[in-house]
Amino acid sequence: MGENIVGSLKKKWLPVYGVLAAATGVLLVGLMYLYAKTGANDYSMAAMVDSLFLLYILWSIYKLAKLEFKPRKVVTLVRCEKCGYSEERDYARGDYLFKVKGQCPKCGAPLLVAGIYVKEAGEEEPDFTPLPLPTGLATFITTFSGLKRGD
Amino acid sequence: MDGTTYDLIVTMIVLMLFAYLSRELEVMRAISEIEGYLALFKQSRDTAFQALLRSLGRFSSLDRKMVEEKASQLIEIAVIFPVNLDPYGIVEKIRHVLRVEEKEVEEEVSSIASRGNRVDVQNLTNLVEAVRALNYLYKLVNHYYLIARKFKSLWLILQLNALLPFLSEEFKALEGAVKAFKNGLPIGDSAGPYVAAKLARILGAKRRYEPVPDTEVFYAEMGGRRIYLAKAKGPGGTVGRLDEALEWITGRDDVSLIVSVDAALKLEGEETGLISHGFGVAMGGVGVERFRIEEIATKKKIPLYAVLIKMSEWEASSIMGEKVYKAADKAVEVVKQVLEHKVKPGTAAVVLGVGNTIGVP
Ligand SMILES: [Zn+2]
Repeated sequence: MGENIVGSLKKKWLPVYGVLAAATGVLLVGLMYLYAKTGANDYSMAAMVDSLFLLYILWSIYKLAKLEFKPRKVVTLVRCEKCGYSEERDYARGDYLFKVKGQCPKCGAPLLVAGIYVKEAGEEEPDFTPLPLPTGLATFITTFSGLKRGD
Repeated sequence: MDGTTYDLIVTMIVLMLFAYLSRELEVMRAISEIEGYLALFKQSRDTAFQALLRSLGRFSSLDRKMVEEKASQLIEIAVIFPVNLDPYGIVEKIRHVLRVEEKEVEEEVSSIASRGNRVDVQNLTNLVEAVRALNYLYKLVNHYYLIARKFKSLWLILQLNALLPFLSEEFKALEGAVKAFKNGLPIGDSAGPYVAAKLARILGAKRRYEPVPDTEVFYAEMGGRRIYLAKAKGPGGTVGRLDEALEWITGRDDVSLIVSVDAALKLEGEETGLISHGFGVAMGGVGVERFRIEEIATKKKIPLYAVLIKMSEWEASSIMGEKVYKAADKAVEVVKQVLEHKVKPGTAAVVLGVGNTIGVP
């Protein structure tokens, strides 16, 4: 997943979940208060159901917060063919294999591009699985809000 | 009716209701999962299309609307495979259809991106292909989803639901490809051409030929062995015509071994970058070129040796990863050893660097 989609998912869902969690939390406190006051079993049952909801929402928040974008940086590996000195540099547009990129700091021979690859930070493939959002609602929002994913 | 019977009936009804509800919930869950994936697939397709438009626009002198119109035509192109009721000679037919398609698409791309050079056009053509695949895949999934909804078929829905993980692998791979082709960076599949190019450099290739379009052949000597290294001609994205190059080489020299180096799909759980040896031709794609190579080798009784670099589908089509790069570097040594052990001095061998040579000149 790109950086933007993770960011926009968080921006979109954290407030929604936050409000839901707050509402269920307040409800739970209210129900417990009523139960303590009246001792009616109905209230304790409702409180139990409500706390299940709360747990689910908290779990979703946890999943969402854990979701992070692992930056994958493209690097250019330059190597001196004479003495074997090598160094990773940031990829610059126009780099290609065996291109001469300056001089070897050790022996002065030309430095050649030996490879261009992605430095693996997290070693993980991007996660493509949609979030465990409530049925229907998730679809509706992802479809109609048009999350902007750039690059 | 006394109270107990009444209670029993109510309990039964409630139980049946629950059984029904649980199934309905299961279907609803499956549908919502499919819809979630579909929304992501659609988004992925749209993003890729926008990226294509931007890339085309950079080299185009047409106005934006025109570019968009032509690009949407390009990603709807279909390739119709020949009839296989009578499979005799079908490989040549497939090759013909593919060559025509390849040429036409490239010409169309170059007419849109008229300011780009050959490398840009090749990379853009690759990009078009990736976006086209994304577009097709999205439409296909959407089609099955709509059919399943139309007939309210539980089994169709569950089948589609079960396929989602595999489909999203596919989407991931294509998304990675879009990023790589857009920037002209080497992908995992470029490992084969990379090995050939590196080997040509290490062995100090004396001559370089271009006997067939988009393909180059290096000639080098190694301890009295004549080594021909064939790969697609970079750094534009192309797989070249290694079969024709091999035909050219075998017409010039007596070849005693053919070594093909390619990225191979790893199994889940296998380590990326594992190098394995094999017999036969390591080559993906439709199989047209592999067929030709096998035919040449069989006719001339040349042993086929393969060096495989294992990676996932996503890694093969996305920008080359560090692990794959290191493995390719190791594969250079492996191929060198194979040549030393299996080719007698005084004879000739061919190394085929199979794969898309994008980013590897
Ligand atoms: Zn040096």
